[in-house]
Amino acid sequence: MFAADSLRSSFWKFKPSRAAGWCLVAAWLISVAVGLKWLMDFDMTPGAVGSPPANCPSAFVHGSSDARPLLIMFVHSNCPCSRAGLVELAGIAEANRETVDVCIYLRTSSRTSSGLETTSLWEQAAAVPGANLVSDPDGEVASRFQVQTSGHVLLYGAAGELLYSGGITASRGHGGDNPGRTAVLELLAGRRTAEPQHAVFGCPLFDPASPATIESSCPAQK
Amino acid sequence: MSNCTIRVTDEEMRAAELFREHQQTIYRRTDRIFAVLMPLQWLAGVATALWISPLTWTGTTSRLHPHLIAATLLGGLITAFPVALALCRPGRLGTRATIATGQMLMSALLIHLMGGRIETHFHVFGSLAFLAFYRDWRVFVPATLVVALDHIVRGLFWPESVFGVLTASPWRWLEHAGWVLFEDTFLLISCAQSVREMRDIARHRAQLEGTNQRIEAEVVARTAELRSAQEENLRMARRAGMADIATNVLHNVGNVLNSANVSASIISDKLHKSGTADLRRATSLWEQHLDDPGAYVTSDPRGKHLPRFFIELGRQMTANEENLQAEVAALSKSIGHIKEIVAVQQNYAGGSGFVEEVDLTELLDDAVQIDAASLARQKIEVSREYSELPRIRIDKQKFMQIVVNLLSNAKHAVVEGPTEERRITIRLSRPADGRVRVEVADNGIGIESKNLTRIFSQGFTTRKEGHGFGLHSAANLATELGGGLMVHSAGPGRGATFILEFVLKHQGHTHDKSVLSRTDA
Repeated sequence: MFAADSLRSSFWKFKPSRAAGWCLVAAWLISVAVGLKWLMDFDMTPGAVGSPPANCPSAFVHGSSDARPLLIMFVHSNCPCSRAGLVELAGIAEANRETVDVCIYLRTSSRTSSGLETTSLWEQAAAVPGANLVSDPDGEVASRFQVQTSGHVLLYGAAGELLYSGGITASRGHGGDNPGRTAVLELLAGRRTAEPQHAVFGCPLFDPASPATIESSCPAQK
Repeated sequence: MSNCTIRVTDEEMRAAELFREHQQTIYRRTDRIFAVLMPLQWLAGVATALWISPLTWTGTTSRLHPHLIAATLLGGLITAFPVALALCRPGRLGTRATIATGQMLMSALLIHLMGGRIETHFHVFGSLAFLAFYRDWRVFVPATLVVALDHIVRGLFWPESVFGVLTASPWRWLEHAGWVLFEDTFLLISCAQSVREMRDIARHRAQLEGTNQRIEAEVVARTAELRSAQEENLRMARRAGMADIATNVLHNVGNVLNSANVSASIISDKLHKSGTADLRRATSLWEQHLDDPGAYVTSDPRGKHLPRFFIELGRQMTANEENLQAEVAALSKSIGHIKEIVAVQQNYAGGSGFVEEVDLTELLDDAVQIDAASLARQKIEVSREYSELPRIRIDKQKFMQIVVNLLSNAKHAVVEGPTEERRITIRLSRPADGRVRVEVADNGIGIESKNLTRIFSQGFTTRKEGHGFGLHSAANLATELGGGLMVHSAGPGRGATFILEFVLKHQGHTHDKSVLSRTDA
């Protein structure tokens, strides 16, 4: 008890020298800078882009004369970083409501898919204008498209050719103007883009032990 | 002039001291505010991270989201150091600067965690407003530098984390820093005004303190002068009181001396006319005829008258002797009277301040006795109504001075009064509250109501030959006895009653409370 009191008293009465004080301040600032750098590294580290098929699997193609480009986003149902991607997607969908079909595959777990509709990410995805929201238990569809990171966007042309593959955010969880979104908007406007690929920032869709593979054809579009 | 300069300098120094104290109080208080505020905002940041991004996922497995870890650990690190300084070293410039830096770093962290949302930038402006609580322009320097540096670095390497867009201009940090400087400008103006007001307040307080000190010194000096004057007045009043008694004594002694003088003159006259010279001449004749006294008495024409002469002379001398004896008795009585007066005076001539056990009725009787001759000559009837009282401890000199003064006052009042039936009543009683009351009432000229409140004031008198010390002195003495002196009067021509009351300090045997009345005419 005595020792504890003495320690407490010493703490409050501790008076470092001026040099020691500056050292403490410097150590504090450096620690904070290191922490911020670590945080930025996490947010700026892109996920795996996979190898999406150059042509949309036939199961996803209309084959009709009025077929439109198809914009697909794969989202992990619990990835908080993908909120920014959904915001960007909503902006793109709203701006191109008449010219593109939008499909969002929400990767879920077959064991915990019940009650998925109540998650805030589901609600946000459902709010994307004109989007077809599809549950993707265990990432089956995502694995068919060989995408591995939540927030990955694929844009296929009306003929099923891959026009764009990558993310539409500049980093994890950070929305705003970025090259990926610009590229998609350019392509949907019928213009060519110099950057048809972009890094994807988000949570991995699959466990490291279960790499994505294409096992079957895509399901039919709506 | 020199004193004035010194005083102004002292006031300026005191104003500077008060200003520093006030400033230090504000610094410490604001440090305490931040010591509470910063942990709260840290907890709010953790809660926000917990709500927005609690976990990060890899397929079906999850772990704590780095944002939550950063909010907890990095936010805690940012918070802990300034808070520790605020608690351990409050009021220091270094503490304020560290708090300002920490607050801006917290803004940077929150802006990052919120994805560079522009709304989160309000934290910067809110923090600057809080820092303005210090009223110290210096805290805005590290705060502004941290904001600018954060926006420069992140704007160059990762613009979307701070500006929300990836394509921001490399100079966009200037816009953000400019807005910070914009707010700084107003806050600095506000701080400068606050500091100016604090200096004014300190200067006014110093002036007020200086004025108070001067007033206090003036009051002390004046009080000392007043006390000295009061003591002088008291001495004068006592001397006047003693002079009153002495005057009474001398007056009475003088009156008795007149009687003695008359008696002595009569004795001298009687002795002068006693017939001794005739006897001497007759005996001389007788001696000349001692050889034949019978012939001389029978045949000498002058000798024939000698026997009758002796008979007449003897009758005359007998009568003279009787007259002389009467006058000598009167003279002796006058001398005895003088002795008595002097004896009473001697009894009270000692210095006051000595408290002894006395019988108040005896003192009152002595007081009457001192002025008895004058009272008798003025045909003033003195009535005494004494309640039975125990012997009490009192300074009898002071008591006597008061009573003699009151009696003298009453005597003058009844002499100048409208009625021929001059009467003074002395009452001694003990009210139920353990006090002793002595009343000296007269049926004299009375007192106008407007004079009742100032009759005990020094120098106040309505008599031409009065000096205004008597009643003032009596009132002071009554206070010294632990009591007070009061006066009642129904108005001019209706007499007055002076009441001396004081606490009964010592109670001996108490007999029955019957009133003893006696009247001297």
